[in-house]
Amino acid sequence: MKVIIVGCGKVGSTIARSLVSENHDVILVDKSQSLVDAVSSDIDCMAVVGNGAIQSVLIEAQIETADFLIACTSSDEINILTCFLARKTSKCRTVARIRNLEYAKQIEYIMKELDISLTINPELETAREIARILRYPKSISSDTFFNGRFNSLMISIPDDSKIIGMKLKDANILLHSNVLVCAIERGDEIIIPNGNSEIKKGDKILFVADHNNVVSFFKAIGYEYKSLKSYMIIGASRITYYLIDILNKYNSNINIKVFDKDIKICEDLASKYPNVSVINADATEGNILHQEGIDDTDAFITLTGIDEENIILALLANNNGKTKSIAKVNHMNFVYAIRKLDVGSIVNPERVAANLISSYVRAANDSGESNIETLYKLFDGRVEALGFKITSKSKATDVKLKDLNLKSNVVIAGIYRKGAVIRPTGYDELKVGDSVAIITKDNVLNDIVDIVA
Amino acid sequence: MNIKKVISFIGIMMMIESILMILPFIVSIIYKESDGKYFSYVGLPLLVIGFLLYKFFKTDDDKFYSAEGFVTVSIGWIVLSVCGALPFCISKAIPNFIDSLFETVSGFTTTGATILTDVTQLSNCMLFWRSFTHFVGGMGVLVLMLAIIPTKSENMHIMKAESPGPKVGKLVSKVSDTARTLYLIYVVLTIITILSYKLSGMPLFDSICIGFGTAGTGGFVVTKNGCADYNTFSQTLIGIYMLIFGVNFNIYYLILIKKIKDALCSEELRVYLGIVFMSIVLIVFNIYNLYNSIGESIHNAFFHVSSIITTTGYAISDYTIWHDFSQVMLLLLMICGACAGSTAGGLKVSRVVISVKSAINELYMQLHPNSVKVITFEDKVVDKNTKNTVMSYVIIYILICLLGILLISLDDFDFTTTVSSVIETFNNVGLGLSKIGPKGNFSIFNQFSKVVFVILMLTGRLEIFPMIILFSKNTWKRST
Repeated sequence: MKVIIVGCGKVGSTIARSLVSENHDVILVDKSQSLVDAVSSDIDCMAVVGNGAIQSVLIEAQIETADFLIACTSSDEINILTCFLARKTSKCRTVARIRNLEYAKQIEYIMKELDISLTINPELETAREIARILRYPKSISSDTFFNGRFNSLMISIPDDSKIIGMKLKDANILLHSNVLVCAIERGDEIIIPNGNSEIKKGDKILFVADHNNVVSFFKAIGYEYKSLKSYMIIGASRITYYLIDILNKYNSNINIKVFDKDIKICEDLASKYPNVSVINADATEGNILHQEGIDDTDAFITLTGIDEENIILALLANNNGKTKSIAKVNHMNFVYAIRKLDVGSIVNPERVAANLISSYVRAANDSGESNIETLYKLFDGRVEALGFKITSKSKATDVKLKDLNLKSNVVIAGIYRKGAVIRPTGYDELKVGDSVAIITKDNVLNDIVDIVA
Repeated sequence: MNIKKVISFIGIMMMIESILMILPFIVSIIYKESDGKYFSYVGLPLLVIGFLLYKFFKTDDDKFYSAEGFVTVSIGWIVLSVCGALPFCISKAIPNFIDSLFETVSGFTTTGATILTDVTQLSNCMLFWRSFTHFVGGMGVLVLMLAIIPTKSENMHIMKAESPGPKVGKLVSKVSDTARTLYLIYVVLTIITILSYKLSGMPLFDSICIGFGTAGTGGFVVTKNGCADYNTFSQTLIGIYMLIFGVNFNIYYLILIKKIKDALCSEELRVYLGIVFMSIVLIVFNIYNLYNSIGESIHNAFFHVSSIITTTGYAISDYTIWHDFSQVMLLLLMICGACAGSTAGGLKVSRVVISVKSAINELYMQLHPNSVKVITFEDKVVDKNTKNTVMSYVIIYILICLLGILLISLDDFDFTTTVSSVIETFNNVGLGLSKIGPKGNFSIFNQFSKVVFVILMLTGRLEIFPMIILFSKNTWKRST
């Protein structure tokens, strides 16, 4: 696939990096020569300097032969204009990054009239990811399949858990649970386990299950499950607005407290959400956080524009061991650096956007046997969790799973058929119309047939 | 410094070189020559050593930045030259190792300067290998490596370090695809060249070897009198094909994807052809009285201008009998060189254009200190960084030239010989003035001078920076 990316800021370059690693041809367009030089000396792609909303620049970037155009400059208007021009010049599919809250209502009209195939809103997607993590507070990351009916969760094993030392084939029986462990992170290594693999102290595991089994599994390994009542959010950014919307929708009986330095933003927030307590203060100063009850809050989410502040505050909140903390970190380098620290969960809007685009580009690989519905990258992108919808017969369907010659490091985690989730065994088959959740390491899967060696 | 990865790349490169040695081996079978066995003596151990280096130093450590790219390229070229010299040395075709090294470096760097007084004494397979090094060195052996093996992002830094010109223009998004496209264009053009030489009446062996020399803008010949032995039509063809290989390969890619208008609008191409045309006119005016007819003087002027500006170094007559003006013109053309992104050496037209434009700008700034002016090249604004890189390149280039002249002057030849020998080796031309003109060769220099020439040729081919970076202390400080 040939993909043009207009705007190579943090979102653009993260998307470019992830597409290049999946072997797509990428052409970057940006106004800034120095930015283009820096990014293209780091990523194997071509670069054009110029304003992407000008037709001649798009033609120089070979728009006529491109399959996709992704407009992700910081300006919504330029992105829309770029997509419109691209569509008028060529047959490529267009993706626009649109994040203004006020455009959200008319987005479908814009998309239809200007023939934009997809709009992405990294802030909204990040808010959704935070909400997913908050649903299971003990998880480090949380993703869903089959329209939310099936979860893949990453957790660290508590040091005194019963599960330590158990073989996976025995664990479900001994713990009276029904989950499938798909990947184990031990030190710097990632293991795709089999029935004989053992859980050790200090492991992080990725497992899949539906909601009830998640709750019982948490209890079994020594985590109590409780739903959260009080939330403290530092920084009133766009993500904050989206997050409050989502949290209010799930449960109206909650307590949200938002801190921000800027009085104007605070007033705006207070006028939009009367039930939220807004505090106009610098969260890093004095003991304002203790005064406002950081020790008693269930969840502590840092969403300021400064990564360092987010990380340090999350560490502070995590000290008492009871609070679930989530930090937004934009710089990928920081994410690698703080992996060993007890920050709680980390969300990275660029990563979220890149995953979305990756799954969209891969799904457009019209080989026809299946569609990618969801794609998540876990463990710094080393493991992928994908949801496929099977649309036609192939060599992967109608064969008993035990007879299917799977590639190494591919796990079929769950099958969704006629409204029910099936935990697959060797005697199950994949059928047309099913949705399938796949966990894989070191493979790029574009289609369900790619799981077969 | 990720030395493991560098060594594993060198290993792959050695394997490729050993595979390339199969070709002269085949030639020796065709001509029933016993010299062919030396290629297997060198090629087989090379394959094994290369494989072992690759195997044992293969690493998952992905750290590969510009320093690693530069070091890979410079070490790679040194290893390539030393290994390529071995067949000459152990077959006693060129008994002295320094001489064989000089000859091989001259081949790979597409210089074409020789220490041989009579090339006809070499067997055909040796002659073939000698000319084949031009073909390999023209586009670069590491670019060949990128084209055939799948690599990741590290390849950009290698491509950048090996490709001639101030900026690497990628043809398509991926480096490996770009390398493949470049080689495809290169190979196809070379085959067309060889075929047309054959059709014009050259012997097959000659047309292949001269074809390689033209493609890589090298300059090794296979007969006693060089290109003077061929008919006028063949000579004209050689002149034209040399010019063609002096053009930026991006232009051929544009033609390939049917953007002919864009291709013809290229500023560098226009300046390049303009320089060629002006030089021919000036030289013809200067030398017409030396030849019997005006046609003959035009033919001579065209051939030699084309040969010198593309830094090939073929000759059809002794131009050292020309008037001084024309000889100095040739010397200037050597320094100028052809287009960036071609197989030619020299400063490259694009650098000359950018530096002349910025010099004019500076003059204007002296008169109007507060004025703001930008330089444009190929309809694009040249940013400060590129401008500074070009300027410092020119300065280092001049300094190295001067240092070379100082070192070679120890050999005590006349001024013209000393200066032109340095300029021609540094720019990978292969022909100089006075004692090293079309009638002379490099056997007159002592061993020390030959080593200096070897370094100059490698530095010139790799465009200075990789060689300097290899020997700079800072490169190795960042280790472990």
